[in-house]
Amino acid sequence: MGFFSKFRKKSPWILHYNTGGCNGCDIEILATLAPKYDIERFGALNRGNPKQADILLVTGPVTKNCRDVLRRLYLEMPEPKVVVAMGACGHGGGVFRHLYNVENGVDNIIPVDVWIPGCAPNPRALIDGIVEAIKIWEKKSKDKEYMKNHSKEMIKNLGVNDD
Amino acid sequence: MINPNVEIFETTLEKVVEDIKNWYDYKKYHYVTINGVDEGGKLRIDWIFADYNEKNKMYVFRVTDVSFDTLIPSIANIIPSAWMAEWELRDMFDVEVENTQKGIFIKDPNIVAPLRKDK
Amino acid sequence: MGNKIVVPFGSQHIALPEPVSFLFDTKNEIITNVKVDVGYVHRGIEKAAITKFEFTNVSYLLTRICGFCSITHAGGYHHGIEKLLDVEAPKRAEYIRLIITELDRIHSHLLANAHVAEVAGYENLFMQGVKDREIVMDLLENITGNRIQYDIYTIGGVRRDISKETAEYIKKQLLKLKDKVLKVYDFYDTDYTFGLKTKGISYISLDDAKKYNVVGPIARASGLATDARAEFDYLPYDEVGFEIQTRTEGDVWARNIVRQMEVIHSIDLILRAIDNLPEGDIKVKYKGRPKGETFVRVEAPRGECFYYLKGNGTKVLERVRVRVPTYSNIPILKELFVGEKYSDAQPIVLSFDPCMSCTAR
Ligand code: SF4
Repeated sequence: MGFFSKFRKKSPWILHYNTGGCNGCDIEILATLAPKYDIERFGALNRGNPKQADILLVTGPVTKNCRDVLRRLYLEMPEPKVVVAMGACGHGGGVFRHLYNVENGVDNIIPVDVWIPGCAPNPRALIDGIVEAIKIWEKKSKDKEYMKNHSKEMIKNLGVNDD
Repeated sequence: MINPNVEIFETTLEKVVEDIKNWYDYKKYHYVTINGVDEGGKLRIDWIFADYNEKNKMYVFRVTDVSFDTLIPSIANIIPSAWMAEWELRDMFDVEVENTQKGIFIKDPNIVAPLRKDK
Repeated sequence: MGNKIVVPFGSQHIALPEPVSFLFDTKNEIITNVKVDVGYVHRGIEKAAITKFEFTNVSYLLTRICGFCSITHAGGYHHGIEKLLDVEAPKRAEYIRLIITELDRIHSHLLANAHVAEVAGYENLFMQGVKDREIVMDLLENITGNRIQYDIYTIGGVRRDISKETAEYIKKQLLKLKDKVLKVYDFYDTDYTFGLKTKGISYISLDDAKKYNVVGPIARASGLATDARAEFDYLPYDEVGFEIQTRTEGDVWARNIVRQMEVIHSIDLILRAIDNLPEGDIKVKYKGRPKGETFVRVEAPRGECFYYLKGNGTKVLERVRVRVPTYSNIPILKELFVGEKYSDAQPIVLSFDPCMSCTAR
């Protein structure tokens, strides 16, 4: 574990993106940031910048219009990174499965580490998921099981051209 | 069964803009939306309005038997907020509407006219 | 003087809970032109409602159009389908529906106001607002069993009853909430610096509001008294003494104040509804299949929501059309930006309380 990783694990920053669910899950994220549930106890802050984020919190079934934005956000985050899919519709589409403009779940686009079930998940479940994500993040950073740079093939697989 | 307070004006595609223009008064009526219904190969279009003062009252300008390749006139000159519904009509039924562009909701070229029954 | 600079806002942004993208052309920080893209979350719900789901189940899909106004969509659908099936929900069910609808409005308005406060630079006020809102969420969980997607409506009634103890609990908590809301209201009303950031920003005149068919708190902040609760019969609002709340200033500040006034009024409505909760069944049976067409208007937290339903005597409906409040507020929002400072763009967007998953469906 590098010098900075020690501190990063104490304060994982969250990047939140809604890919087309109802905003129920996003409301619960806001509620979790607020005093009653207070996810800041774990050092987690919601920051809108992918370049500084450690955890990507995705809600929604991934619509075709959002797909490329989601891929770009994922690629722009520094390694090691953890993806958390929140809500039933992130898991294979939920009630929106097989609609014509939907990609049926987050893991069809990017690899997912933690699943949070429920529609909408309770804030307690969300906290549980984030804590789990921090553990996975720690493990990833210890094992160095990530690519330093994305290889050309991976970028091609993810289907993003740099601009 | 239709709500008793809905008044329906049957009209034709050529006359509808003229009719709405003569009737519409933005101080009294409230434009709601434009709605298309696929009635088996033919499109039915409703221009829907509500009343600010009278309870439950709604007005509908209805044009039936519109084929999918005719040009549908735009009312955005009379009602400036109508453009969104017109753009959506174009996306959802793949019909031509005056002064509109494709792609407000559907950006994938493989998806064509989802609300049409024959597609 | 000054070059033209294009500043993107969205689709992913810290101030936005949902994806929507604005491209501002700015010159010396003044916005000269704006492009909006509202289609990020289009899923195709109207299509699915007429192909994949039977009319008994389609409400579970429609409530998931939006988390904030899920109860509105349930309401719009059920009031329509009940007309088509010719059933009438019992009085007690109507009252329970009213209570949940108003609780939903309270939590949505509190969050919207808190959001405006946050982007105006008041993070503590945001926290305060969301903390107060937890009281309502707690009540909703108590009555319906879930915090966001309640699904309390069924055809011909409601799923759950409100017991005597719960009614007492609701009353106690709401009185507590009212005190807190009044305190925050006072702050919005009198604070000088908050006024500097919000007063006079993005002014909508009464005439413009009518011309552009603005709905909801945004219209009512400009003095246009339009509210589907008064203009359409769907829940017993007359019996609990509903009144339209309006202001005339028409700016960001007035929108916040109108929402705050509505929260207080909603609390009153619920308290009256609970005091006069009629006895009786909460559900009636229904027969048959939907046939015919109907138009429904209900009031969402953000304004008037319109439903058109058409059935053809089979299990699957023939057309479901949803026109949501944000959909009719986007045209004026687009016009409003021109001439404002870029730094005010965030409060303007959030004072409209835009709900993209509703707009794009
Ligand atoms: S899981 Fe449910 S509550 Fe969450 S975004 Fe999807 S539909 Fe909405």
